Amino acid sequence: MNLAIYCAATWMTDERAEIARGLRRRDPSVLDRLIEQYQHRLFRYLVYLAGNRSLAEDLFQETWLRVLERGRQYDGKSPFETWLFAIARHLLIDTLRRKSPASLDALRDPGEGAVLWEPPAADPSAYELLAGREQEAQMAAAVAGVPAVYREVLMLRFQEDLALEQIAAVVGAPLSTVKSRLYRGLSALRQQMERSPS
Amino acid sequence: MNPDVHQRAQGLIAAALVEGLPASEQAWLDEHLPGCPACAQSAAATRRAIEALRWVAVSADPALVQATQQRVRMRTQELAERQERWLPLAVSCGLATLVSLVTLTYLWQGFAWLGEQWSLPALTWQAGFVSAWFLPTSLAAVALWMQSRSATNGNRETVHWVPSVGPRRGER
Repeated sequence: MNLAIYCAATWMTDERAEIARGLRRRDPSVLDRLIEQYQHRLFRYLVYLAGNRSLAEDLFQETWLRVLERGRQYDGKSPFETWLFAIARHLLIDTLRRKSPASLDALRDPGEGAVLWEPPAADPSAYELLAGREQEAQMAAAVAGVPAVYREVLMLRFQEDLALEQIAAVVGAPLSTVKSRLYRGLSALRQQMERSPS
Repeated sequence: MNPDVHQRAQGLIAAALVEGLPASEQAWLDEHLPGCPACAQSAAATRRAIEALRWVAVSADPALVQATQQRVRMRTQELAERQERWLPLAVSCGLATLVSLVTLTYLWQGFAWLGEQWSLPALTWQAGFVSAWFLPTSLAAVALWMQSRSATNGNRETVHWVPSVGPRRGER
């Protein structure tokens, strides 16, 4: 058991070091692989954070360009996704500041008719597909109703399974703030779900 | 049952998900929940909320991913070309600065000698010295600035992508 943990830890460290070396060299094959590997996680984070699919798509491209340009800053000591999410977060904040001096809370409402999440693709029957889509739409609405600062940490904790320390590194906030946001976010999400017709 | 007990249970339900519980607290909660329908319902609602987060599928469009890879490759090439251009330029600038510093006193003496030969006022030959000293550098700076501006405008080219139609399954 201990050997397995040791091997896994060594492998992760090696992988991080390899990523750091590739980014320092600006190796296109490493970047291609990283984009493939982290495409869904990064995009999901951006959609959750921005609450706006179109903005998330723009920021997705910008984030990878920033990774290329600032790749030398990644030292390989922390997980790559923590660094990646932090870059994406800064880009979003910069974008919002340029557009208007709004905080992340301003992104709370995605707007009428906005589609943030797609329904599941392959259910066996038409009825199940429809039911699944309806349920998913309700869940998406409930999640979208949670303020962005809470939605962000909830997503990092429960969908990305990041440790609390890693979340603190991404959002640039003390651990106590992260915990407080998680508790409040859970409460807000529960309230939203109780409100939604199910 | 004491209301404080329920409050404690509510706190522990959230804490178990957010940061985990010590074994003693977890044992207390496990013992409390089966005998308390209200707290058990609350725990179930919290679990459903977490499942909602995990269930909602979001995936990147393959066309967006391809366009991003293409854009990143183009930018990589641009950065490599820029680095190739700047390295010899930086070396040249360094050498030019060194030579200028070494020849500074000779240049000053040369202008002073010319001023004396042609009986020029001191201010005139000194102005000539300053021009000779700064003009090439200023011209080079303007040329480099214009070159970098044109390079920056060229970099603003965006790779467009067309979103694909149809449902996609969320992937990790």
